[in-house]
Amino acid sequence: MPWMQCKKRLALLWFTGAGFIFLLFLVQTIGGRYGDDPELAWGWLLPTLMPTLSLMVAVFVLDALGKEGSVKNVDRFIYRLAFGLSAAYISVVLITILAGPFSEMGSSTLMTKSNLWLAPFQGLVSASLGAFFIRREPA
Amino acid sequence: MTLTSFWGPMTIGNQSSISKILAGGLLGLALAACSSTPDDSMEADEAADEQAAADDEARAEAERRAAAEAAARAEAERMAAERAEAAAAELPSFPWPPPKASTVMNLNDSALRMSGHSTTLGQLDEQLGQALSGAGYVERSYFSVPDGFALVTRLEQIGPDGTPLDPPDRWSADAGPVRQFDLRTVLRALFTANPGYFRILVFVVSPHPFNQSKEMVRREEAMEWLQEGMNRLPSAVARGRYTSIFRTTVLVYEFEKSEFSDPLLISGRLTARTHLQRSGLLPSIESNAEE
Repeated sequence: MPWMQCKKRLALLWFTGAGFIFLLFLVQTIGGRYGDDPELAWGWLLPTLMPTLSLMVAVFVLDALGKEGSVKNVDRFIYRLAFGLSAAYISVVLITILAGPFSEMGSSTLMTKSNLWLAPFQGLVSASLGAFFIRREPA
Repeated sequence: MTLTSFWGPMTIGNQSSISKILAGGLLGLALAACSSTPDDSMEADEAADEQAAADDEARAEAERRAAAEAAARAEAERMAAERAEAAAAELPSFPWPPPKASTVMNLNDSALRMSGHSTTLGQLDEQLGQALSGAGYVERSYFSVPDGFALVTRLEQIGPDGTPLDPPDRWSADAGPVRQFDLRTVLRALFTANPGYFRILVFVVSPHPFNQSKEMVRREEAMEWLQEGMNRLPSAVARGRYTSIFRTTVLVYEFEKSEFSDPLLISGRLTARTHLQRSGLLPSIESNAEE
């Protein structure tokens, strides 16, 4: 598959999804959802999204600086795996945020407990994205 | 011949009549002397003396008995007072003056007083207890306040309008999850703090006027009142008279707690009357209240 097209789709997925979640969190914080001390909520969100976003931005910067050489194609399976896992991960993060008020355990507990499944999930997403960016076929 | 006598000079011509009088008197005296011997007279005196002594002794005995009864009464009263004090000492003391409450109201206690009869603190407690049980407040505890008592209810969760939530949420110390799924409720739950409201009622029965301290009680401290107080009013306190100088005052402690904030005592969001009305207590404990 064309490298540039895959990269753009992944970027669109991540920046759109993460942007929506950030915007949602921002509105919630301004509305007082996280009380006078929103550090707990933001302390959960930032490590959930920022590592992957940082990785993608670093790759895009390297590409823009032209240090990656000319790469035209990427393995279709690896791209689909990375895209699917990324979409699922962003969805799970969003569900964790939206389900908080309706959960018996409450938002704060749900955020803390969600690390049980988000941490390994994030590992899988990072691995698939790493494979996508590394295993590129030269033109 | 002229005689000088007590009545003045008398002529000897009157001598015969005077002699007759004197003779009659002497005769009477002689007869009296012949009729009572010296021994009889002494016995009579002795009997009179004995009677007087007996009377004195009876009087003294009666006085001693009255004094002993008065002393016994005083001792019984002193022991009763000591028992009352001891019973009051058994009751843990409520913070005095009470910590700052969200809102306060003096109850019009005409309905609490037994019409035509003197009411005891125990009877008042019974009436309050019936009203509280009828409104679902089955857990309560008692504290002592100066010459009276304080009755504390369990922390309950209420809605924004002061109506208690349905159990089990009513008795939960944490705001439960949102259970309504209309758009407005969902949006409010997602984008606002959506706090839970909690309430503790304290009925203070005391003859002494009081104010509130500036101390702000924390919700956890207020929740401990239920465990720290006694489960019923000691009988020595319950026997006390609920006289006209007593007043029953209700202090409402209302707390707001959102998930990401510590619970805070809130002031005057609702009036005490509204709290009592929405809790279902007001109709039971009074017909007219003075705020």
